[in-house]
Amino acid sequence: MKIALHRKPKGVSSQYRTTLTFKKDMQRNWTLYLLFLPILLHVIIFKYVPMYGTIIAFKDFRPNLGIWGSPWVGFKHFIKFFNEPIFDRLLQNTLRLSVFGFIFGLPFPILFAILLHEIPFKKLKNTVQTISIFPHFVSTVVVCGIIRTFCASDGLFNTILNSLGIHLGKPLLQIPEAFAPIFIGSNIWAAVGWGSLIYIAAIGGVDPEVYDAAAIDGAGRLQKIWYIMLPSIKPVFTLQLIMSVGGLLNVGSEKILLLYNETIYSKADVISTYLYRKGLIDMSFSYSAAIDLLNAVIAFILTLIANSICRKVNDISLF
Amino acid sequence: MHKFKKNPKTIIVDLFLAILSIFLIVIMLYPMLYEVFISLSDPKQLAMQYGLIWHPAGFSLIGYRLLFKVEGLMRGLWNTIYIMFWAILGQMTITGVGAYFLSRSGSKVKWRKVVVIIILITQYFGGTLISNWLLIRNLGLYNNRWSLIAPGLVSMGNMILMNAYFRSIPEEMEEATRMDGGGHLTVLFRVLIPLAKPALMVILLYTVTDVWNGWFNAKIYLTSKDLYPLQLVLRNLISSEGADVMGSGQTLAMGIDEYTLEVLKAALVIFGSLPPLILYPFLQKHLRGGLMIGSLKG
Repeated sequence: MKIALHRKPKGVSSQYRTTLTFKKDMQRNWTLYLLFLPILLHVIIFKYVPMYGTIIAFKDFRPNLGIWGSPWVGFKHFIKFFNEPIFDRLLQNTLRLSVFGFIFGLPFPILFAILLHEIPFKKLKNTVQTISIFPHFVSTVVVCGIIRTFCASDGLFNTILNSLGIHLGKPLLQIPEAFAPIFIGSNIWAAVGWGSLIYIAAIGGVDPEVYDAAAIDGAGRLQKIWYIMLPSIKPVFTLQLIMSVGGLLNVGSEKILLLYNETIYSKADVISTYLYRKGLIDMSFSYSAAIDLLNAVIAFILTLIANSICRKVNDISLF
Repeated sequence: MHKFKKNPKTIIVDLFLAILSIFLIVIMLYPMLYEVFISLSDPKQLAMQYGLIWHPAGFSLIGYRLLFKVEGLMRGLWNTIYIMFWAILGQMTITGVGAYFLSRSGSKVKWRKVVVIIILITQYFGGTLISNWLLIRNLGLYNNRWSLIAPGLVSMGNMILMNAYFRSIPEEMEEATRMDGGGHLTVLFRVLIPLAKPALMVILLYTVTDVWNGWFNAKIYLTSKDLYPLQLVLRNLISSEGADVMGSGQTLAMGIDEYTLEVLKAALVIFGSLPPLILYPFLQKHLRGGLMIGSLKG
């Protein structure tokens, strides 16, 4: 991003080389500023005002007193959250879903990109790629609708399990242990094609002559993958890794909200669904904001740590 | 690579990879195909089917005919179309203008640098769920369809994508227009935007997908059922706990049995996922170029 935004202007013509005075700038660019003003206002209203609103995490917010008028309470809500009886459960569930999602979710797009590169028939290759991206465009609501159909007590999964001799007799979504595999599996299904695009681009960036040279030196298919392809995706992979580490506490709550029910809270209730329920159903605004803020702060710290480790280890970093 | 003659071992591996990829296609497509088959099935024959199915059981369009009778569905469709109209219009103009501003060089536009910093900060820090919700209330947008349109009008990701695209357009094209006395507006709307069609198409695809698929904001910002967009209506019908296609005794009124309900649900699934799926293959060729810039945006 930095590269895109901070490109040095090439070929600055001589008339601009003199420093731009305020008056001259306004004369030349007033239409530009006028056009951009609404966008700036939008950013301030919809991004900066909510940032300010986050201070209710340190207050006892009451709507009639307003954000500023509500009394300060310091870290009360944070401490309350740590002392919550279900705190351990929430943290465990969040980490289980995100860590396993991370472990199983990260390699698939890479393997898929390599497979796609190795398919020898161009038509087949294009078809596979087109189809693999399809799930990305299907809405969460629809995906969860399909999951519900498949997981019903007489649905596809139960029918298959029955034929294997496992009779559960109830919907899979009412079995706590089944939630993580369903959630992670369907996430991989939806994300593998889209996620592989970035790796496909990285692999595609390698000059074909490198492969030819390797072949002359007697490299086989696996050696080409190991010594040429994998190094080519290393930078992209590192960036993805840093970003996933930052998202460890952010499991896709939209999907969980659609899929879970009270019988599987023990395994499916995560921090983000809990703060949603606290905030918008129980209307504990400050408490929910505190949990949300805590989440964000931890995510930011994790990103910074991952970033500095990656910079030290292989000199690739997000910022 | 193809200069070398292939040995039998390579051919076998190639064939294996081809078969593997076909197998993967089947896995990727099957969930949707399953729903397509069910939605086209004859409810009476569906009763005999279970497990993996590879074709509709019998054939009937009853599911799709019943769609029109589902309460709130057509109103939801209309709400989604309303939101999408304004979202597309806003997104296209705002992204164009914003990206144009960002693509200027700092030496020609003095305040660019400050603005870039103001905007970049929002990429890393944001409000909480609650503070966004309070904002919508305070702006008077609560229970108003504009609560779903307004917050998304400025998209950083799209602006950065467009900015990268503008920068790839040779500067000479702009210079020529400026020589002829054209100002910022002329350069943007006469030169850059017509040339940036591929990027606009990618943004169109993103916007359509986001609006069509979004439900969560509608859930938290809207209380009146008359304003619900399609996906929120669908959620209440097929995909949340206690979802009920024909809630409040409607089933009995319409005389629908269990299997017809299955067929109807499948038809709802297909109906709910169509527009982005139809649009995507047409815009795929633009995605290749535009997406790479977009996905690297960070």
